Amino acid sequence: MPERQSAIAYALAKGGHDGPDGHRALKLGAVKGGSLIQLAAFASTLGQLEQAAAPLIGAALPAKPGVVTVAGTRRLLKIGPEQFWILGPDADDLAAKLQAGIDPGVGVVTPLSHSRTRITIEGALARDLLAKGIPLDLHPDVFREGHFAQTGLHHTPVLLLRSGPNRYEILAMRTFALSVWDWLTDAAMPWGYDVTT
Amino acid sequence: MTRALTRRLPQGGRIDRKRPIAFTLDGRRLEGFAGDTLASALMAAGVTLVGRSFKLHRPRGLLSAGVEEPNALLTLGEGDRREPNIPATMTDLMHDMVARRQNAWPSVELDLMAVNSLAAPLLTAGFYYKTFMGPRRGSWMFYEPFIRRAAGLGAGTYESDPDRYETRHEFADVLVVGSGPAGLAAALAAGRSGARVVLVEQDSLAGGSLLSEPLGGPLETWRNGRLGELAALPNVSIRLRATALGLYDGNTVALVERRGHLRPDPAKGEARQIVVTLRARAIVLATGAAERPLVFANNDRPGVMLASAVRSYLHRFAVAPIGRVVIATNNDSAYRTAVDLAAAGVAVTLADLRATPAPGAHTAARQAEAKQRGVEILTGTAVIDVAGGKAVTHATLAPISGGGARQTRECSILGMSGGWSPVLHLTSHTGIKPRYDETIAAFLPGGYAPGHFGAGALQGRFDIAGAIRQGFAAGAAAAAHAGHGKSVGGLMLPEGVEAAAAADAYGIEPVWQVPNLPKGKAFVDFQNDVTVKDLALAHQEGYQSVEHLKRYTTLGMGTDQGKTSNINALAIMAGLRGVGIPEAGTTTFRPPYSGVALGALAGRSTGHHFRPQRLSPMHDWHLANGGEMIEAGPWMRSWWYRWAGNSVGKAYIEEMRLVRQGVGIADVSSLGKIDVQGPDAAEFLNRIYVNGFAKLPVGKARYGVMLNDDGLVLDDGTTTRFAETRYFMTTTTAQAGEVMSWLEFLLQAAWPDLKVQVASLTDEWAGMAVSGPKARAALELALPGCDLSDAALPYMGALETAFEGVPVRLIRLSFSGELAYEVYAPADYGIALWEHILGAAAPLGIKPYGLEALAALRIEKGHVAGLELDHRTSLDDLGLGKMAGKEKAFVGRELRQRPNLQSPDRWSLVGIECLEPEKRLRGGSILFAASDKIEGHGRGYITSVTFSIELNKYIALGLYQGGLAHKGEEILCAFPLKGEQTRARIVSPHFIDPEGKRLHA
Repeated sequence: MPERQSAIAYALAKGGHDGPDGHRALKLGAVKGGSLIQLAAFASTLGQLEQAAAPLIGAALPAKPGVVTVAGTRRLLKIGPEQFWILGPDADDLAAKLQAGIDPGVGVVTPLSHSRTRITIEGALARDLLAKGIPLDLHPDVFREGHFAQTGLHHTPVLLLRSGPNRYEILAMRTFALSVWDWLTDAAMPWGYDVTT
Repeated sequence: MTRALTRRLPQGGRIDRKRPIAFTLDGRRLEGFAGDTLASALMAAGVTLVGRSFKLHRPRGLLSAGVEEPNALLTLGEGDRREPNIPATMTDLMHDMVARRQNAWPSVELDLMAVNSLAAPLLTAGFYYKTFMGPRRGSWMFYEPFIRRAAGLGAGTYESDPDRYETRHEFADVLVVGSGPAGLAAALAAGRSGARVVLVEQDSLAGGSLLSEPLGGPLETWRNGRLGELAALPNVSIRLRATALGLYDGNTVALVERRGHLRPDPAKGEARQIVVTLRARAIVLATGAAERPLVFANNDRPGVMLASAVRSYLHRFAVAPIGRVVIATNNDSAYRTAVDLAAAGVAVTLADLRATPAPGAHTAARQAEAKQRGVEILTGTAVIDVAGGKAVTHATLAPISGGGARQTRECSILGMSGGWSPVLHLTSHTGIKPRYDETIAAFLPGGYAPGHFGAGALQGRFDIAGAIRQGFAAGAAAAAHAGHGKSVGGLMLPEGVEAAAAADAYGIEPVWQVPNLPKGKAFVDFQNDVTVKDLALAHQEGYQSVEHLKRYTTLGMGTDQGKTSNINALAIMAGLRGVGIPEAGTTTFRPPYSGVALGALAGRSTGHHFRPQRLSPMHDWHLANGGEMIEAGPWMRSWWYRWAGNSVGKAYIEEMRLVRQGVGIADVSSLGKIDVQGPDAAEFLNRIYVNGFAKLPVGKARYGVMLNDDGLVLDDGTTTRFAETRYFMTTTTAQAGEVMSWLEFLLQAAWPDLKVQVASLTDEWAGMAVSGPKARAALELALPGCDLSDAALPYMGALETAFEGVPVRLIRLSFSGELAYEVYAPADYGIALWEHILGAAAPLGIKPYGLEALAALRIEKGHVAGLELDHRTSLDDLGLGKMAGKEKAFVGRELRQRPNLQSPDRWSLVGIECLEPEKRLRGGSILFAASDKIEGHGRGYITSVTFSIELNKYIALGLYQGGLAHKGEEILCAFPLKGEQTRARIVSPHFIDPEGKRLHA
């Protein structure tokens, strides 16, 4: 199998940038590989889907949007009234399991692993960096660890997820990912940044 | 050099005398101190003349010490950093600052343009409208450039701005605007409650009016104490040099933060200005009030200033007048200036427009204090005129009653106070009309939106104790509104500050216009050179509304937006009309509150950050392999490749030849791709496409056309059934987003009962078209073991396979008209599959081809694309009417039958071939019948054009009135931009292989 090629592979290879004082206060990077499955019910079958999916995933689907449910190596996100995203490891057979195990009359499975580029931002200034473009209150008491939001950055839709005390993940559309990355690295210039791969 | 009116005192002021700062004014080297504004440094250096007025080129000096400054607008910086019309009062003095005075030639001191002043009788209100509107319609367009050159303030630069600007989003529980007594108290109350508080102050220091109080006094002690308390609260953030530009719905405030004083280096990513979009749960407005001038003859002479500004310069910047000061006032507030000047050893005469006995509760005390300090007080007396050209020399005083003798007083500075106007711009931004309050002779906010609170001078509380109490209460109320109800305790007032009743806080008795004025211009708006006479003329000519008055006289326009002039003007106008001020009304303040650099509003959205670009998964490959790129909507697409030539004109012909004769591969990843799944997917597709999809078998693709609900064509594409309930739709590149939203809308709003889910796959799958007579052979080399025979994969057949474990979708369909396949792989494997096909099929001569060839090939084949699907064409216009299902319902079915859409005269799709071999056809050409006169909009136009290698001539697709009913007729294609007319013939749009033999090969 060939290796997966990130949309921002060349940009990542360029490395970081020193801030004015020679420091690199932020760490920017990308999650290599990783799988993303969209699981969706129909208006009348949400309950059935939740029942059918739970044993296959090994955890119940989240009831509410906005907060990630961690299930082993996977993270479950409710992204719409009947829609879920499942973030998992690169080699995950869950999509196939779900496709086999869920009645097409109950729900649909759409693999989307390649459709999003997962950009990571780490550092005490991560919030300040995001504030330059994301119109959300990211105060640590408001947007807590494990919270996520579907929002916009640089005119493109993104999903923002707080994955640690000072760590955020941005799921950007793959075709726009390089522009989003360019935007973020430019925004990070005054503080300097390292690129982690 | 004009006579100096002011000088720096040997001590005092909020300046750091150990840090001298050198700067230049019109090339002359001057010095000030850290803590100075450019304005205070100019005054300390004895510079009296700061510019020439906009229209009349009259000499002007500083009027104010703040954001309201109408006169001291300078050009700062040089070269690409030159910025005109910057108020010196709002500019921190910086090392090596280069300042220039404006609007004079050859110099401000000797301004030959001042002849305008002699022509002043002509330059009255409406002068331009009256003079330059004739003799013909459009004359204004002729005159305007000349007028703009003669009038106007400083000139900007055409060079691009080298500085960097940023934008930021911010959130707070309580935003406090203004850091005067009320603002500091409000921030403290809100801060103690535990709320997240942001306090914004446009000045470089917090304190507002307190900064103009004597250092070392009780007010300074109070200010320091409160700032200390605020600094100790981690939930309170104070932003200096931050101006609230506008207040918008949803408690959203636009702020601009100026950081120029830090000398930001754009190369290091440092921003010169930052526009902050701040969303607060509650807002306390403590924006204070601005002093109004008095209107008398020659009140614009350098040295005539606002009384409060004289005090600010004295205490904050240690700049004092040289010689006597005359103060003219109609209220108590100017007495403080008089008293403080006298205490500093300056001789002061105070002309109080108010007659005795004193009208205000505190007036007598103020007068007594002033008298004790040796101030000469003349009550019932007006300043009616000042003498002096470039600097005031003396003032003429006369009893307000009109009788009695005139007196003169020599003076270097004349401080005037016509009362105070609350700075209510931000409430005005929210659409709340101001209301007039007779007791303070000023407009107050007419109310507050929910969650907004006002305090201090904005509310007409001009006494410090009242402002502090009101601010503290407003801060607590705002915090409670934001959900922080914790008790905030009490607040100490400054020592020795007496609490005044609001009503007689400053004893104003408005005299909007001093009666019996001598000859000489009495200015109402300094920046726009609007005088009392202009107002009278406008009134005489029938202008009644203040909004009309503003536009006719230009009053209240310009960089200061009438901060000092509006109230005086409308009061005078009300007087002329014989109505009350409330009836005359006031103009509406709109954002921005003060001038803002366009660069700041643009932020980082410049250059390639202006908008995001969409890139194909194979983008990097194209760049590395001779691909020339072109913008197509948000996408960058490979246009043509260097292997085929060194220009697009040569290359696309070679690339077409490759596809027609061998095999080529093109990147079609930008096509919209949509996952359509569910038990009702077939029914859903059957409803959105005009043609039938209900019985599409698994493993088959079908071309389909969608209409919008107007019955016009929305988009076309193919949908492939890969499994019983799973479909793969493609759309055109241009309409991908629109189709996706349309499908979501229909599922959610029109047919929520359908069990269908859609998801965008545009980013998930890389797409490539392998086209040409050798396409099958090429894919057989690339995907050995996959049966691609015509039997296994016939035209419009589809299959799912894999290459090295990577899932691959193959659909046999053709845009070019040749044997062709669309090949899809997950995006991260796009380049791998692309390179694999190129490598495996190399023996067949496979090469990449770009967008230009792709488009040319489809024109030859007569396939419509984005240029024809322009949301104005109907199914029948495109010759696709027969596709529409007769028996089934589909979106747009009814409205497609509108008589107008069925008219035989509609412009519909035709092929066009060029009849003149030495000429070419051009896109956009207007089409005429051979016998038509070449004028007007013609009978249609060319939508798409290419050179056909098969036919060896230019061919085109176009829309033509009556369409193919005119097949075989000769037409003229006119291209007026180049003055070209080319003979051509209407033909079938299917230029090659009309039977489709190649597709089925």
